[in-house]
Amino acid sequence: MLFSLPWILGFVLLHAGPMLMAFALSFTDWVFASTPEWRGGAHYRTLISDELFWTALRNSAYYAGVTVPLGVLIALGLALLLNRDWPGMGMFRTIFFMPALVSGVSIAMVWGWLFNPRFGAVNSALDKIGLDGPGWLGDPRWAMPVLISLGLWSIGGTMLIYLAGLQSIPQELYDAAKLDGAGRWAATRHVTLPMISSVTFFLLVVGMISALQLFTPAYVLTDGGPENATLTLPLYIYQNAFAFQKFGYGATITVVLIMLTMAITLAQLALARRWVFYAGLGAR
Amino acid sequence: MGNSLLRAGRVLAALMIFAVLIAACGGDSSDDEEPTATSEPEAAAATATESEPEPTEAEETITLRLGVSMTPAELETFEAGLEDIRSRHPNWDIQLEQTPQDGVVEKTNTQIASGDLPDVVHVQGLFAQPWIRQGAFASLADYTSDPEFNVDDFYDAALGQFQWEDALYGVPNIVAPDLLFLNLDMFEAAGVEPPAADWTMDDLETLAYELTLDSDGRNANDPDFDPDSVVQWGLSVTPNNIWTRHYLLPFGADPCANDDCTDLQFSSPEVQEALTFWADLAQAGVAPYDPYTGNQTGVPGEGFQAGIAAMGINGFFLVGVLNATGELNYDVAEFPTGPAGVKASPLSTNGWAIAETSEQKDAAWELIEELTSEEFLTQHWAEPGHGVPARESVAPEVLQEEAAPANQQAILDTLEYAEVFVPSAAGAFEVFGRTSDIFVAMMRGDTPIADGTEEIDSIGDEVFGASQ
Repeated sequence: MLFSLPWILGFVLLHAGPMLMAFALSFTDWVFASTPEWRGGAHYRTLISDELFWTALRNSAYYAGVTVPLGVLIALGLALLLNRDWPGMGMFRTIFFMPALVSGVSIAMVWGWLFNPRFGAVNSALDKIGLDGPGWLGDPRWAMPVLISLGLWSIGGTMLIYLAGLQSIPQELYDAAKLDGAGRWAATRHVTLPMISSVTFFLLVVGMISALQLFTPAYVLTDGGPENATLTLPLYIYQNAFAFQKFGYGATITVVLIMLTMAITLAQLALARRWVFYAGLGAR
Repeated sequence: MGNSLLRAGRVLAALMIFAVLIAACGGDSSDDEEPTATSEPEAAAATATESEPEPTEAEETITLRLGVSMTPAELETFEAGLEDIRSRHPNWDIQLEQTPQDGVVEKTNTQIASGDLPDVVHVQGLFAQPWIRQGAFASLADYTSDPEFNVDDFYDAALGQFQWEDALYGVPNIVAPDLLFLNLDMFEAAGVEPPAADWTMDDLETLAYELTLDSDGRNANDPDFDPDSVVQWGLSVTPNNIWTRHYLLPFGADPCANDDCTDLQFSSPEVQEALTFWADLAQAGVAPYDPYTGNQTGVPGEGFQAGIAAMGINGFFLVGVLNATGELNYDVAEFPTGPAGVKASPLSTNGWAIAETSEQKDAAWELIEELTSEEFLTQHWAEPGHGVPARESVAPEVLQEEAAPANQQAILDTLEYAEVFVPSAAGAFEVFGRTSDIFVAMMRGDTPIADGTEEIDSIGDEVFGASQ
């Protein structure tokens, strides 16, 4: 108990406390200098007819729905490629991990210039092969895909966790599979993937929570534009609470985001019983 | 169990001793012998107080937090002025807190929410009303009624931004009209004369075309001009938010249906026609539709200041910035007259307010008196060219013959008709945030002006209706 006290204190003061506070504030109007005024469920009713809320929800779902599975797949592919005892493999692992060390704002700034429609490297490259590049961050159709590409660029951490998972698979299992006549693909399918399914599950849960919190690149690069194409729920919360001074309404969206995240996580936990394999325990 | 607790206790004790040792080794910065450990203002303060009377024992040290959000050039001259004040008030411990300009609204909101607003805050007039009405600032009625302060010396429009229900909640220190900035080197290279005092919107349009160059050096009047490869823009901005009323008034178009502009009428035929004038410029490639992101120009921020636009519409503060860097050969002009025969310019104001939560209101007011004194406004705002003093008596001090721009009279002439930004009521920032994209889409031609303006009015009705 004593040793877990710092964590408990941190959780209560920095997480549970603010969450409860947000829940309480979601039933009020609070314009900072004044006392919060009770509004009952008015903000929740407003939410239903708030088109921007639904736009933000769709955008967050779009980002998470693409980034998380794609990120996990690419990270797994990279980890499989780098999980070999070849010379120079350490260097490649370092190179693929390095983007994860750069701060979000810095990467966003770099991305902004790479995808600058007139002066960016991406459109310059497209121009060289005779293609007319789009407006990227200035184009409602392309702005979110650019943010997704930014999210995928930083998958070094995910790859590293997969690498650790791959290296913990006992060699005997591959040897046994080989004796049973399994080829490379069969061994991957029947040994590797089940043995790292718990890692995949962890990464999907954490990745989904993280993706639903997308804020920094949307704030730095587009501020939710163009035409609200990159307005995510966290950015909409921020705008309402800190720019529009509608703290109660911002708290309401926060509560919805927390509930949504919890629901998705619980659904993932429920589905995990069908496909996640824990060594020694079987599927749970 | 007992041993475990004992071990845990020992570990905690060891950690505490370690922490105490670290703290002790860190020492007090005031004990540092290295002079470089003291910041420049602190060093200057130390020097100044050496020759000034030390506070007597009866004079208790008063800590005053002073929140500002200034450009680096403004901050440099302001800090120098602050040192003079510190030397006159040795018992004041003035703690300057600078916030980057991009995040000032959010930070101020957070400080208000947490009851942590500095005692004295520098507030843009445009932002002031919602905060005043929320009770974030203290009423200054008792202080400003003092005849010695001479509140009548301040520009009425500037005072208005800090007034609510017959009381002042802030004192303006500077006003800054918007002006047309002209890059004289670009004019000369194009063989074009800078505009005369009586120029019109048609002249502006003509100049914008003549001064825009594509990557092959063709201007926008050339039939082969390529609007997708502009390297020099004729004009740096187009209307991109709800606070661009001055772009429309010269056309006889007013987007505000009432005095405080909480009833928007962007969809009126007059405003639509005026917006069409600007959208045509944007779509011809002579002025960017999205001026600040750098997506079109390749340079983040305002194009004139970055040296890629021949004409720029900017606040007077840019005079101080340009003179401090000395990189551009420039002049200024008044806004052109429109078809309606009128000129228009917005008036930015800044002022000082006292936090309602301040426990040092009297001292905070004394500090404001210092910061709005004729001497301070002249030396630290007017002479460096950062702003026109909000006191009419010293406003002309902004004219500095030896410094650019040459046409300084345009500054005072503009003050004759400049009006403060509206709307500034609660909800204005939400309308701004939710409509800026629509302006860009209209300027770009993606959204018909009729549709875009209808939507802007609708958002205005929704937000202002709710906030009233």
